[in-house]
Amino acid sequence: MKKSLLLAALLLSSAAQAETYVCREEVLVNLNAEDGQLTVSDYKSRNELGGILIIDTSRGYKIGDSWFESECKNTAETVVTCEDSTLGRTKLTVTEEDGRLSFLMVNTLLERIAVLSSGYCFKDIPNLLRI
Amino acid sequence: MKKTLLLAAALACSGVAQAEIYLCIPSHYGSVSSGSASAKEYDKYDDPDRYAILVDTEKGTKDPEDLAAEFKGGCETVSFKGRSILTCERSIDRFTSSLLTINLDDYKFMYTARLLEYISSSAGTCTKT
Repeated sequence: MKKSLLLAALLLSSAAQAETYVCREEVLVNLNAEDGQLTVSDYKSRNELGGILIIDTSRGYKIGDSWFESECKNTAETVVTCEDSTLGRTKLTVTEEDGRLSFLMVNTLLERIAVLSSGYCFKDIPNLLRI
Repeated sequence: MKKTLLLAAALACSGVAQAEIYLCIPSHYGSVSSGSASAKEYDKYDDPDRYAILVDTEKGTKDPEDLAAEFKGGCETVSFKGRSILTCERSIDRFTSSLLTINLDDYKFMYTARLLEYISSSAGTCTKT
């Protein structure tokens, strides 16, 4: 019984440390060297809303309807850094400057495709996470 | 410019017999920073040799715009989904790093350089010297 309580306490403590961020893309670059396709989506200057990226540090990140499992951690230089290499190589960082959280993400695939994006984030918006 | 690159590659070769040297010329480039983005396909008027990356598998990579600088970082060959990939990582300081991956089957490469608030990627083809 005591062991169960201890396990529950440990689970609760790790859950409490998980952080969530909801991020909005402002700019996006698709670079496909295979077919020569290059696209720049500058949502910010067009005054449009870019895509949403959700980061759950205990789980990974979500783009569209898909969760991508990723190892996320705090570093000395960043608020959060997530990295994975399941489909290619992804590195996602959230940094803070003057109280504003912003993110940078790069995903590369098969040495021919890179998707780069940046935008801003808010921390812990549980209602949005139920999307 | 090409002569300079080849000379740099030859000098790099001469020192270490076992090292493999690659000269990587980008064909495509993209970048994002806080609130701005750009992408382009290089043509001959852009002189893509300017952005060439020199790789010494024993010593790492050279900064594309400073071939006089020392090689930095380290390289290793890994197997990924049945492909043989040379990866070279370089960390300049706590805020600046780069990753180069070369598919050793066709010598296509992707180079990504990161600062805290800036990322650029370039893709192209390497030549083994």
